[in-house]
Amino acid sequence: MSTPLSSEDEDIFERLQNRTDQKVLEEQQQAINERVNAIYQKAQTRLGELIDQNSTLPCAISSVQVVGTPHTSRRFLERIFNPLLESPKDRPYTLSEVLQVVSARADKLNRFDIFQQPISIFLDQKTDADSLGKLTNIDVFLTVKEKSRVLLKTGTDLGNAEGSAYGNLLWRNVFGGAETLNLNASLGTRTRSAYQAAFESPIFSDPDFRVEFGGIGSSTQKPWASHEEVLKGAWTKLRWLTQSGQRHELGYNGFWRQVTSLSENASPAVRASAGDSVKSSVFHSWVNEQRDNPLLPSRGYYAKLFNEVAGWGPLRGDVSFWKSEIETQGAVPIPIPGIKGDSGISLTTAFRAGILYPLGLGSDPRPKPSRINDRFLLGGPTDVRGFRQCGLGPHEGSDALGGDVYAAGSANLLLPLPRVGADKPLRLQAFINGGRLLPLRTAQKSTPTTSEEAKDAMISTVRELGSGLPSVAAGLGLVYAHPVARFELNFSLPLVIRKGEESRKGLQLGIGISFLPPHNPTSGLMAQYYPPQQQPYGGHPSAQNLQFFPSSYSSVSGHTTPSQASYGGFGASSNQPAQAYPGAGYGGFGSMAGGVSGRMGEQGGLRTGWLAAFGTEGYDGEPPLLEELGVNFEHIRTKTLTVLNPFARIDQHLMDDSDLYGALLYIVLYGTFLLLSGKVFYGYIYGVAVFGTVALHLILSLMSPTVDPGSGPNAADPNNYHPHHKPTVSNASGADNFSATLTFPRSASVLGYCFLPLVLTSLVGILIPMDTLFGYLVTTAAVGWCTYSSSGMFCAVTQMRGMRGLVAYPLALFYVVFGIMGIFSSRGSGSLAAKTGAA
Amino acid sequence: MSTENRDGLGHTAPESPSADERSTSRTARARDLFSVPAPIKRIFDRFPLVVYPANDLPQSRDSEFRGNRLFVFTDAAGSRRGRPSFNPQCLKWQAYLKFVGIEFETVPSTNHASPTGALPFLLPTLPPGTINPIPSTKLQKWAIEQVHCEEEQQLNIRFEVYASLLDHRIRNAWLYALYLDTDNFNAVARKLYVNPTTTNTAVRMVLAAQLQQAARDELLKSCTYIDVNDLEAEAANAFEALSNLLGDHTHFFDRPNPGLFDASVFAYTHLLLDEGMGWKQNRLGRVLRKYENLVQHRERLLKCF
Amino acid sequence: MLLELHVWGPAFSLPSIDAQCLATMTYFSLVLPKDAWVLVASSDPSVSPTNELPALRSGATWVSRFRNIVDYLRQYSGGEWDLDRDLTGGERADNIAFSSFVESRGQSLVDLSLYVSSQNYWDKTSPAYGAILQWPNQWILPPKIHAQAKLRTEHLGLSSLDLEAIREQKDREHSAAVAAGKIPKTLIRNPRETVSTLLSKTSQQNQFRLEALTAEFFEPLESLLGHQPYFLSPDRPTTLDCLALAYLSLADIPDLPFSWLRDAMRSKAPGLTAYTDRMRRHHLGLEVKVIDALSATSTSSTSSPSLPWQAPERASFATLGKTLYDTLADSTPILKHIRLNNRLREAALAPHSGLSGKESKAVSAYALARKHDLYLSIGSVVVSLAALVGYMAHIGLVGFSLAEQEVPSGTDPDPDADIDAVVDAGQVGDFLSML
Repeated sequence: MSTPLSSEDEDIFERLQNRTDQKVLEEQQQAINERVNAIYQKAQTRLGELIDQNSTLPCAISSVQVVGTPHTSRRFLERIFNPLLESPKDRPYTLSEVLQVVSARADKLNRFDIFQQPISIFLDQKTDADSLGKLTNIDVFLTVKEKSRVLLKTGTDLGNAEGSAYGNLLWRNVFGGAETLNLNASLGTRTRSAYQAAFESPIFSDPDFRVEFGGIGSSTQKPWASHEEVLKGAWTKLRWLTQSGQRHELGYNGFWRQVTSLSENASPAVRASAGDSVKSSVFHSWVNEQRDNPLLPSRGYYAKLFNEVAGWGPLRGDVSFWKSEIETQGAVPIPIPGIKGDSGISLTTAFRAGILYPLGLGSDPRPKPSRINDRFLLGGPTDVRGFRQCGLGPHEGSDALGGDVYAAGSANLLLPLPRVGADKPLRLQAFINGGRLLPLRTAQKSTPTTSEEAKDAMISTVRELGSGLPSVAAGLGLVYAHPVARFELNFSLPLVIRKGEESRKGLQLGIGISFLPPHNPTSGLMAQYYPPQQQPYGGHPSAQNLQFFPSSYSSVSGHTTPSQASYGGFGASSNQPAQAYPGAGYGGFGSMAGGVSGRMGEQGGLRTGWLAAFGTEGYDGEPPLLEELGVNFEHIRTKTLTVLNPFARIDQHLMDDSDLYGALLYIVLYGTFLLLSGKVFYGYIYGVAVFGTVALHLILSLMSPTVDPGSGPNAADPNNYHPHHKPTVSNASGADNFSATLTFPRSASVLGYCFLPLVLTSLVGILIPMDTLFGYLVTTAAVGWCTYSSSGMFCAVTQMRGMRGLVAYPLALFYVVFGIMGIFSSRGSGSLAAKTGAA
Repeated sequence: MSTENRDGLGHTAPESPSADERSTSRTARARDLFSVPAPIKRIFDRFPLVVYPANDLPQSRDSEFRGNRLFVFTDAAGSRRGRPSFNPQCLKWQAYLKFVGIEFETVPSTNHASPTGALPFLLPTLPPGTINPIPSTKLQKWAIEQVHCEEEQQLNIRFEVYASLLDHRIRNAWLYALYLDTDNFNAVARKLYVNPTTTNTAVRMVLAAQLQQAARDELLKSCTYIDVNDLEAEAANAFEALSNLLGDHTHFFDRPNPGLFDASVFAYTHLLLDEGMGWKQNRLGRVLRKYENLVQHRERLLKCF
Repeated sequence: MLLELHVWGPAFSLPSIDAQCLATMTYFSLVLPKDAWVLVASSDPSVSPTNELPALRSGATWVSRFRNIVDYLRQYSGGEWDLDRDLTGGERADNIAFSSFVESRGQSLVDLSLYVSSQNYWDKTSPAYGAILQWPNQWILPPKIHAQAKLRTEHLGLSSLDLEAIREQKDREHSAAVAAGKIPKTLIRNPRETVSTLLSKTSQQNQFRLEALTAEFFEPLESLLGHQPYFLSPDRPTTLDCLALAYLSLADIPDLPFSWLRDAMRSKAPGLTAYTDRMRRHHLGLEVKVIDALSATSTSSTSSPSLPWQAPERASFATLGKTLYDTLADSTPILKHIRLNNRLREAALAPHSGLSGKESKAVSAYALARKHDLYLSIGSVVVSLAALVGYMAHIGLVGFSLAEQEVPSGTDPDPDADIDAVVDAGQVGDFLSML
């Protein structure tokens, strides 16, 4: 924004400023409008003619060029576009067909979520058509802009009795084949720690057919069964999307579960099931999503079928079972005779059921009794409302032991609020829901020992489901479907319960990505791809289409715009399912942690929810936003590099644009690292940073020589030429007096950037205790580094000569404060902290 | 959130005292705001309309036991026959409870299940419905309350002194012999501690490594490196001292019936002399056999099982 | 040949700050003729290949640890220099048992009193170390020893003597509480605690524990000592006396800020206290000053029974640099392990290291065992580093990768084709718009 202005630029501005005549402006405006109209008129007429002539014009696609893909591999693109190049066998394409296939391909490209929308198509008729005879040869140009390849998110969540800090790194297009790598880490009070890494890649350049490998390590408190589960494992899965939009997943899970650190009053059953177990299973899940809006459906249906076989035959492991779950939801709008159109009233019904069938482990035929971490759990504000978390089913003392067979159903009547109206995502709901959760039992109440007994037991248990009423609760509530999560505030009363089941009278708040989710780790992981998460992305295209015009004007020649509009519409229509996968990338983490912790609903909802609302960046395609804000990655990078390399020759124009984003980024990063390494210092960091910056700016601006415009020439003049000048400083000193003055933002920016070494140190501090000799040394070095580079920059920017030491001193003090914070923050021999503490 | 947190020096962020008064008063008001008026409450109490009997519990391995349950390291067969545990600590208390004549069943378990993080622990029958386990540190007290046997530490000053031999000298040697001696570890410890936990080889390897590292750290607490000769020499001395202490009495401290000290000696001597353990290197055992009276002592006590 | 006994230097007016060293030098002063040995307060474990003190050096042989040294002296002197020569079986048993008792219990008590009790550590112990250690070590060794002591006494559950532990715990609770939003943040305060206020206020049961611990330790010894001059035999001391004296005199250090151990000893075991004073006067000297040890020509010495001090050779710049380098290396995460193992293997494989063949085999085997997990960690670190660098190169954070615009498919259009391309593009483009 403050690049040095050349002279003619300046007088342009002057002229612009001088012109203040209202009338003239209006005339101009009018003239412009007329010209635009004229252009459109002409375009319309010419198009009419063109259509008449060429709609069936036979033509061949001679070349396809994709412009703007520095990081995307050629083979990947070829796989997508080669089919275009050979035309159908019997007869050549007509022009309209060409358009369709091309836009279809472009749409496919879009669904990989590595390019920003719109992808502007641009057809060009080859001139040397005659050489090939009658066919008009067409070159296809697609101008794309790659999305930012790396998204780093850090933040903290406070709420629902859990405080946690998380970091999330999404790396798009890793090897140029639209692969994504997604790393998550969170530390919290309830989900003590969760780390997940998932690598996903499309197969054969097909966005609808993907393979994924992932690993997870987490340890989660399970208060409802008073133990903590430590989970380590890996999974690999194939995911594909059928033409009709049904999603399949087929995969393998290998998890090492450890039920440990039981609480004081854990029930004997939980104690008995403490210890290690390995689950090795293959699973398949099928999802058919036909709801108009997964979070607040008013019509359509949803069905999911999940099957998992563990430990049987060649899959070894310690547990062996066949787990099968079905999940359905349907919604019908209820028309009101008076009102025509959509009344907004809808009836939603859902049904879930599952069985856990014991199998013989490996070769031995004797069925193994199920373990607590495999059994089903039922109940909770996002599950069966009116019951506490896992409040249904067998309880021993206060511990929910889970069951082997369950069935749950719910019916909600959703009414729009009187004043708010049907179009707002806010509804009144009246619901009744209930379920049964039963352990596997033979008639004579003993564990089945043979497969026959197991079969009978299963049958009798399933029959048992029907005996007596299920545990039921009913209530009224408010539903708000935020784009990423569904918030419910319900008043509920239990109607039918079993002894020991924990019902809940009165108000109950539920926040969830997905309502009625099964609570167990694997399905928690599944839940990354749970339909509702597409919602925010599914919501986007319509908005993006509006932005097509401006951006495409800039991209290619104006004439192509309307075509893109139409194409954009096309893209939007087919966007919804495609966008599901990036959705998985984000929301995945939250629901993963949630799933592991068995509280997927709340946590998942919250985390993504907050992200959406207050995250450091929005959803996909944030670069445009950042560019609007004036964030210039190029500058940030160059500055960072200058800081990182103390021997770099410091260009005095470096700080000419004083962007604060990089600086801010580093400050926040520092705070976050310190948080991860144990203490929370945000407040102090911000405080010290602000006041320190102000103070330093004052000092330095006092120190810096005041530059008068006249000093330009005689600075270059040999007789007051100082031999010890850095040539850069001396000959540039007067060239523009713009960069000579020290503005506040500029000094803030310098200070912020030179903060980087300390940030790296704090990163080290997460891993290694810094309160040791090693730590002191590293920190000292970092502070020195910061001081060195910052003093260098200040000297260069403010053209202070021979007073670098003087400049360095206050800077050093400034950085030392942060360094000490870093030392105190991380655990270690604690000697320093203790000295100050016990003194 | 920044204001809510303090720096490492332990200062609290400056806060006006009035602030928390206000907050407390607000919460108070909120409380009576949310308290349910009586008539509505009466209606609430009607719900739930129907209450069925409780669901029955999923079948777990040990729900048919109904006595005192002592959770120890042992295998299913061993627990059925009440055979001695293969872990010295567990065996010590198992033996002690037997000696003082308390009825109990042993249940195979893991350290994860224990409230202290280490076996053994005991789930008493009485009072009925209790779910609070008794960790090994409180077992003696509990036993004394149950059967009013005397607390032996009080009887002889040498009890604690000679116990320190077992708790340090012999234990350290045992740790080395079982966990750090590779042959023994693969032959004995893997079989007893690692393999039962899971069938998965990878996990087994991890657990084994963890186990050995734990033993190593334990030994390195007292010295900068592990000196096998030292450990074994110390253990040999300890056995010599113990056999001296036992002399030709039937039980330690010449008591009529075996007690805690006998139990804790037996815990090691039995395991070292037990053929069933399948030691590959049993230098400790060889040393131990030199002391005839200790061997006989062990055989006498073994009859109790 | 002159025997050199390397020990930790004097502190608290005792000839050494470390119990094992005290015991060893007591033993020496009891069995060895004055001129047969010298005492070097080198206060630097790295002098001996086994990297621990006390260490005895005779010629090229190094022997460390009290018990090894005692055995070595027995062999060295053909059974003459041996305190426990003629003990009866019962006495011998008691000797062994009580020695182990004193070592195990005494050690943990001394740890608690001198290291874990923060006030004592910061006011007394760490300054004492500062006095005897040479420059770089002052910064390096005390934290290590402090940490070890804490580790050794964890199982006693008395960490509340340790202010830092408490503060950390409180911080954890605090942040958890704030996170859970349970407590108004203004209600959570973290006042400066001193151990005494803390013990008086918070943990009654800690008082009891300390009571129990000290009682368990002192009472058997007191009753064993009875009224006789020495523990086991009325006329002559034994190794037990050496060990007991060492630990008791460390327990009896005057004017600690928080002197629970001394108080307990004086109240519970007057006999022991008297015994300690007497023994100290005779064998260790009451007022040993650091200066005696460091600047000692072995004649000039104020303490009544003059220990044959010999001044440790001052650190030359070479050695000094070496220590500095060593510690740097030792405190860098991975290098640490490598060096530790190497040092052990040197110690083990050195021909005169005073370790028997089997022993050295075991040690080196142990070192090897450590090597394995070490390699694992190195491997992982290297890989992750490579990944990081690769990534930085990839996004161009490090210079050498510049992003060039490639045209992935089709041929580059030649310029003039481009020019009229615009025109035709116009037609076709417009045409597109109508579909």
